[in-house]
Amino acid sequence: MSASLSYDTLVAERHQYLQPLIAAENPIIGYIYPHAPLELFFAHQLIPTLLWAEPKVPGAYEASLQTFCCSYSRNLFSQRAKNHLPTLTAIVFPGGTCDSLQNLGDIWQARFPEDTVLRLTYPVARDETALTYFTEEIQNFSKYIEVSLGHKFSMKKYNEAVALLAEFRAATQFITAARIIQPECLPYTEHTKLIRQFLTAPGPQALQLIEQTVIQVQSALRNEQLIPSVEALRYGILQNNLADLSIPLSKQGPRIMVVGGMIDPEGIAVLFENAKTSADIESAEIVLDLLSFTYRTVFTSSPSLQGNPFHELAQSILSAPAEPTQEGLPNRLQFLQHVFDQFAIDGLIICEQSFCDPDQFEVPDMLKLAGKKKMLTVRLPLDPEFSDQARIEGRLQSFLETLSARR
Amino acid sequence: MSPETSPAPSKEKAYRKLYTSKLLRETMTLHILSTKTASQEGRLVWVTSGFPVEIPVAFNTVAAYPEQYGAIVGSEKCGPLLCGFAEELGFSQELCSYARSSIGSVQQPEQSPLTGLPKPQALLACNNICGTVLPWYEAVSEMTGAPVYLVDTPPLEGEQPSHHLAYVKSNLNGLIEFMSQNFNHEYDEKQLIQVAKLSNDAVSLWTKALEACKNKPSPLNCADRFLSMAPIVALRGTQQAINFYQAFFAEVEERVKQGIGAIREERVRLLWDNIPPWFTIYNFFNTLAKQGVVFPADSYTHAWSAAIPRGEIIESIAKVYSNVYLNKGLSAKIDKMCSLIKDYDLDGFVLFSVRSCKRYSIGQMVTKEEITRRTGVPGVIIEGDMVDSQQYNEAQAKTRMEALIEMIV
Repeated sequence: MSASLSYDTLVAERHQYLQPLIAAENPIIGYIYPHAPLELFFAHQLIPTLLWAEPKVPGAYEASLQTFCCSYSRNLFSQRAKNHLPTLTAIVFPGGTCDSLQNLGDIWQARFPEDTVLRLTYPVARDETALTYFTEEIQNFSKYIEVSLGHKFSMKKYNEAVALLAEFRAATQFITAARIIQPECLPYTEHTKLIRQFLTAPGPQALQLIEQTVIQVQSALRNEQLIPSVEALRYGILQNNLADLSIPLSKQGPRIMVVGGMIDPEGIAVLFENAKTSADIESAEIVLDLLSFTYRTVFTSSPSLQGNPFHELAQSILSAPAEPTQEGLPNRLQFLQHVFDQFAIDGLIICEQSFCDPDQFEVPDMLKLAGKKKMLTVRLPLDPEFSDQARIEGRLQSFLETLSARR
Repeated sequence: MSPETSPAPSKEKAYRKLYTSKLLRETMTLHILSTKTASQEGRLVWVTSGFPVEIPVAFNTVAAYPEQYGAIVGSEKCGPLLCGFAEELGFSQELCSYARSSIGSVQQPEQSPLTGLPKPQALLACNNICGTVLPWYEAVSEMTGAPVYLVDTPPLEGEQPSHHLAYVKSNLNGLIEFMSQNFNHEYDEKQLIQVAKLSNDAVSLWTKALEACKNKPSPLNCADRFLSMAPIVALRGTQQAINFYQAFFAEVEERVKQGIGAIREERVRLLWDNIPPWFTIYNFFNTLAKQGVVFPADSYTHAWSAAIPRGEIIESIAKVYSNVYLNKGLSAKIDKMCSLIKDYDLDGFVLFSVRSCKRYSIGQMVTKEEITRRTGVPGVIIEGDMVDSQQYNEAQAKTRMEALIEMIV
């Protein structure tokens, strides 16, 4: 039996990603909600970094936040209070996405008045009127960055960023689609690590690692003539049209899918690998997750270089798939049904971040749908600290054993 | 003090019941009956408490309020039972108890007070009070088949920018289209203006009653206002609401004229923040009344005191419903509470930290410090829930209230 993977080790590695940028005194802007306008930040000569939860941060929120504030918000607040966050030029809070993050922005401003707190407010729809509103919102946000931080918008930097992010999305979309067809082509731990690395310190270096992996994956799939299928699948996902696809799926398994929201995919990968080792079921694979920081980020369409940048950015962000905030429940359930049907999913891991309304409201409908398909499910109540790691791994182990016996 | 020297106990209760509570009961009973009839006739909508209800009323539909039903569930002390039905479906215990009890009552109407709310033909949500309303109504929609319409009012910071107003207006125009299609009824602007006038008349009477509590003694206590707010929530835009508040305000005025307070001996005047614990509302406020504690103001019932301004009707509605203070961030809420403390000459404040209500409650620790810094009065936070009594610790609440009173007296 191999030694357990350590989540702490992975988290320690993350800090290293940003170090070169910090050492070079690049202005860094932190963001929390995954669907931030990254291209806009680059256009203002700011390097965006996604702020992740840190498992080992001592709790330091008690005098400012109640325990029923979402656990992700509490963790971020504790990191700031204990000076565990990187040095940031500014931090962006989302408005209109959930009540905890909405209020956290206000509390942050009150508790850390020395921080530059910015807010971008999202519409809860994705129709034409929402697009018009959000275009103006992003434009005002851009003006505010200019005024408050003194960083002017550069079209040249914007164009470069659009290209960078488009390449990131195309490459990670390919890997994601490849893993659905043949998960053995790239371990889930590697997949999540590559995405994490890019989102922590986005730039050519992180992109290069992903593109090298794409070449390796392509090479592995070429022999089996699977590349056209991967591209067709990738296109089908982007078009939200899975119903007519015929996908040659790997027969190994069990094939498992993960759903949830702003859960750390790398953390899930660690828990899953450890449970697999304990259950001694090496063939089990997470073939797809629909989490915010992976699937929903990766399959967001890129802004076009034609047209008004603010409009294009708004359109891009509002295209993020499976987002509870913008997409109606019936659409998400329909998509999930197609995924279950087309991707031969054997088991579903449902992650519920503690006190996360958007996550927790979806669970019953997912359970119902999975039940109709006679699919095995397991619910994982999580906090970003994975404070109950042994118990969660135990649940996963039982899930995998049952799944394996069923197959 | 020995029994011989103790003052003879007075027969008068520490709190005074309103005569209009009978009219309130009758008004709300008739409303409940009208929702049942409307459901049978295919014109019942469920709406959230901050919804621009004037529009569905102008379409001749009747509105039922799941949050108000949650208050009934709470006061009937069956919150844990109904929330439990939702939890059996997979809804987390950490979710809003208004949502859980509502979902539970849809699942098990025969075990719910009044056999639950009648079946809706549409679900109308406005997220100016919180983000939970949309997934809650989506869940009910999955269960009942009724379509959901969301009026999206993104949170504001400061003044409402023009693109925000335009967006909310377009949402309201979308609502008109939705109502026309779903209820086969043509939009009539004159009708909407008339409903808005009725709404404003009721709001005006309600606001006058609230403001009468600046008097000493205060003619109303917290429980009085929480119960009497039912028509301003459920019947806004109708003549029934005006009829009730005319009688209600007359009684309040009479109390003020005669110097009659809501409680017998007013010693301490406090501000209440948030939804009350419905399952213990009388016990909580009346126990404090016995100690001379009255609550002349609260942040919750004042939320229904904004009238629709003059001007183009859709724009006016968009303005008033976007600028609900829960939609304007922490500093707007703190400003409002500080002005209530000043205007109502209050000695302290109680922040009820409601586990169910993240938008209302998260930030109360900062709020407490900031209000004391600005006003100099002490405050206390007590924790619990509005419907789910399992999440309320009476002994802890009592201890904290005692500590606050000690600081003041």
